[in-house]
Amino acid sequence: MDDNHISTMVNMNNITFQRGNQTILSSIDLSVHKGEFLGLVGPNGSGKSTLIKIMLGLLQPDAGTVSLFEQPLTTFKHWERIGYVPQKAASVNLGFPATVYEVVSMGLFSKVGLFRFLNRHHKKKIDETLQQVGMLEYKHRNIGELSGGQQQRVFIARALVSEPDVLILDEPTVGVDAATVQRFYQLLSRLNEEENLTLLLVTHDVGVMTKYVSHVACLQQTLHFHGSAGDFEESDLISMYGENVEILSHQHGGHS
Amino acid sequence: MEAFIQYDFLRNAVITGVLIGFTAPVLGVFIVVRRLALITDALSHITLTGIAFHLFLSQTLSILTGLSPVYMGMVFAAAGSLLIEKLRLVYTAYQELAVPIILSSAIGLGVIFISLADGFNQDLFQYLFGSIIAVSRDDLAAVAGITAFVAVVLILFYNQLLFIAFDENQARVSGIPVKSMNLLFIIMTALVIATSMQLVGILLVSSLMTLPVAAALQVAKSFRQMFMYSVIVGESAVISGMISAFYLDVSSGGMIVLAALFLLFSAMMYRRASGRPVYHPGRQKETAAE
Ligand SMILES: Nc1ncnc2c1ncn2[C@@H]1O[C@H](COP(=O)(O)OP(=O)(O)OP(=O)(O)O)[C@@H](O)[C@H]1O
Ligand SMILES: [Mg+2]
Repeated sequence: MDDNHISTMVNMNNITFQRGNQTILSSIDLSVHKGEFLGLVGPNGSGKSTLIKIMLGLLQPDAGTVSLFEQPLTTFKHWERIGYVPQKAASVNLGFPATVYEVVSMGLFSKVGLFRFLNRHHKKKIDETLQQVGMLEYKHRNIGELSGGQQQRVFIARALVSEPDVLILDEPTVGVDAATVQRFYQLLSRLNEEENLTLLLVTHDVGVMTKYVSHVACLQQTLHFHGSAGDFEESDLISMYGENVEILSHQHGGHS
Repeated sequence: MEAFIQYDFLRNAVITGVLIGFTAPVLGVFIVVRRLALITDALSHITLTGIAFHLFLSQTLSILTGLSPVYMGMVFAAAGSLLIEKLRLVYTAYQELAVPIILSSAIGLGVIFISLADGFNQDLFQYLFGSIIAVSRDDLAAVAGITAFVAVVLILFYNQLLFIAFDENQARVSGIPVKSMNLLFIIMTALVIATSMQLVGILLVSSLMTLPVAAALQVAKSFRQMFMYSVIVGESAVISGMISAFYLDVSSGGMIVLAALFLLFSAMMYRRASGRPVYHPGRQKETAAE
């Protein structure tokens, strides 16, 4: 599809979501534009993962509409353009006898469609992506025989392998060691700058927030702040997390 | 061996056996990795209900007497599979609850039909435990049709089914029509179960779907190998089970299951001897490298 003119990758309009009689999200308007690196923050239970699941059609909102690539979610077909790393991806079926290679190749399934065989180009892409997350030497290992952090890296590779235009990451680096986290964010940042990859990242890591993201959204049932990272004020965090925010760094980097 | 070529009914049985020795373990791979092994039990019992229903009806409706009860079994199994899918959506957090609900309804209804149909007779006994003389030409045709159906679905949708089995949510986000795929899969399973039961028997058919996979799990290093080993074990069990059942004049289902168990045991021994650690998903964190 020709979409150089498309600039709104995700648009959520007036989203409300309830579980029983508890309102989890109320009247959320959020859009992510092409080339943005949006950090989504908020305390535990504030509805970040829920919002993302609604965005991807995994949960149905009680009110409001979602569109992806300027198409209503209900008719959206180009799923290969979206990569998603769920929170605690390692909660998938771990007894599964699949190799790292097989798991990453799943990321290509929506691209290869009905044809069951991956061609040489696909195979090369899988190797490259595994290299990027530093897991190439584990290619033929069983996914269940890897550590939690290694598994997480494999799931990151699975999301990257189809070369999506939008990458949605729900706390992707939990359990991943510091050096890999560092490399991972450098990779994201490079893809963001060079390939114009649009990123939506849920994180509690304020270091990452201040260093890499271009935009910030703070969620606590409603959106408390949504704007460029440069305009993001500490008061926004305090109003949300409460007074105890020393853990949150003071400098917001010069990024915008 | 000559007898197998000489007698029509034996030839039917052997061909049927080879076909289900392929389809049952192949579907079993998906079923086992999705931890739905018990669903096969529910489906086989509902097949029995269908068969009992047929036997009951054929007492009054004479047109049915010429027809194989397998067809009614297939109808019941397919309907039951739809019901299970429905229940799985109702109890998303307790998907295995669908099994006892269907199982008990199936047995309850089945017992009523059986008593209405004059109680247990020889026919019914064959369906419970399997018999190589029970396979008619009709039955063979049904099995062949379903095997072709399974093969086509697998060739077309292998990737999709693999992805769903591994991670349903992620599959959905990749644009895979998870709901329709699940439906297709469970109907396919129901049909395979319904058509396998003549040879293996209702009470044992689930073991043909799970034991070969259990053996393959011991030695397979990838999903692809799981298929290969499962089919090898499935075919070996069916063929050796049938031949020995014929010469020993005992139930084919029983011999097939014993053969499968023997192979499972051998796979365990092999794994032990090869020094590969037995993998426990629950203890994964401690034993993992790094
Ligand atoms: N399966 C569920 N059933 C019932 N309530 C749920 C479920 N999942 C989440 N919730 C509730 O919805 C709210 C939002 O949860 P959500 O997972 O979106 O939070 P989050 O912002 O992602 O938190 P975290 O930072 O811990 O990941 C919480 O109050 C939680 O208790
Ligand atoms: Mg979350």
